[in-house]
Amino acid sequence: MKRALFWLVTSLAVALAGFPASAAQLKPTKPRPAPELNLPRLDGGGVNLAELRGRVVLVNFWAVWCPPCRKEMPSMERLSRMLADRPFTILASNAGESQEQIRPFLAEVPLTFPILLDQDSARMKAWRVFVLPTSFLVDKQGQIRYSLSGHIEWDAPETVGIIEKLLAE
Amino acid sequence: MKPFFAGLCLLLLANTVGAAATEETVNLASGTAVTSHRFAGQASRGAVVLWLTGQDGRLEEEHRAAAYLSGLGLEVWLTDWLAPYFLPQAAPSIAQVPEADLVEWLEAMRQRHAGRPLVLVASGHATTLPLRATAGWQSRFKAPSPVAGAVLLWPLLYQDPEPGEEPEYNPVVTQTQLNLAMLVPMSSAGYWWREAMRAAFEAAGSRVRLTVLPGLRDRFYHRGDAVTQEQAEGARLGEILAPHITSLLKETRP
Repeated sequence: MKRALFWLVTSLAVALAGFPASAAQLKPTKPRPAPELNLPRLDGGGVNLAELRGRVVLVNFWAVWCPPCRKEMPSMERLSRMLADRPFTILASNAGESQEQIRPFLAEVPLTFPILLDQDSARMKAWRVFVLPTSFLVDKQGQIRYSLSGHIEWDAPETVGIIEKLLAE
Repeated sequence: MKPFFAGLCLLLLANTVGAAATEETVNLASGTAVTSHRFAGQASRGAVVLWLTGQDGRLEEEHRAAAYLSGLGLEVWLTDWLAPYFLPQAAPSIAQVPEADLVEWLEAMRQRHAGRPLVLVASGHATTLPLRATAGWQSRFKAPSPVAGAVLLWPLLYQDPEPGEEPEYNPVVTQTQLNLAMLVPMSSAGYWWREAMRAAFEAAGSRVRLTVLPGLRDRFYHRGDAVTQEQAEGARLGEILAPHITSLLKETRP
């Protein structure tokens, strides 16, 4: 009887796990200055977040080895294209991988927003990133306003709505 | 001890033996029956490996590794700690395993294997189980830890870290004074924070030997998307664990 009950509970748990889990959500945070983010770009040159005042910036920490990171990238590209004529920038900071590791993924999933190289993970530590992907929305004054651990569809209406509010400030 | 290590070395040169497991049940005062798969070692006075699992259910890779270790002369008890409580196989379930039961079970293992060194093994969120067991045991019996040490695979010991916030470790980190072997896959967020975790353990009095597993991710031996290298390393999980268990058996207690 006990064994049957165990398998019933386990089966229910497995069945429930098959339903889409409650999605990760952008959470509002108490506004605080974004840490420094000044990194080389995969395609040459560099990006300094401090020089992007006046723009809303999505800072995303990711890695090729991270499946949910890869999963959300197409939606980030769609978001980038959707807001191409707005003061909005996506910065995808890669956690410690080489160009040889990153480029094959980009060949499959072309991205037009900057891919930054955080080779020694110094930025990951400065931003207190403990899981991948982790994302932050930084407002036009350089303040972190939203954060997220996990992946989402970045071009979903509710997410775009949050970004639009920051753009309107 | 010297004859034991000589015997272990000889066994290390032998072919892997696919040891069959027997089921062993310990009935606790709470009414919980904790059933383990016991892989008998060939050395009757050799070390005992207590492998605490649960979040991922029964994993063939872990059973294969346990059989491999038993072929080296180690006795291995592979114990699913969620099954006795009908808890779902999920990370939050780990915290619901009663500490009193963990402590009583560890004491039962100590008594059953009196005089033999014990080494604990766990992975991911389940790494709190051996740490809670030993810390609770020390608190209850007011004696030095009964275990030689613990092997922690990709320990996930943060308390729900919020992005951008300083992490809080599970309180058991500050209650642990053990020799620890931390195995951290290089392709994991934990890799970047491995030194901070080591520092947290050492500040509390543990001694930590840190090993990075290159080219691997967390849960490398049971990922649905495991790449070729992870599958290969998963197949030799026992070989990966063996030297760390051996090292812990040689070390003096902190």
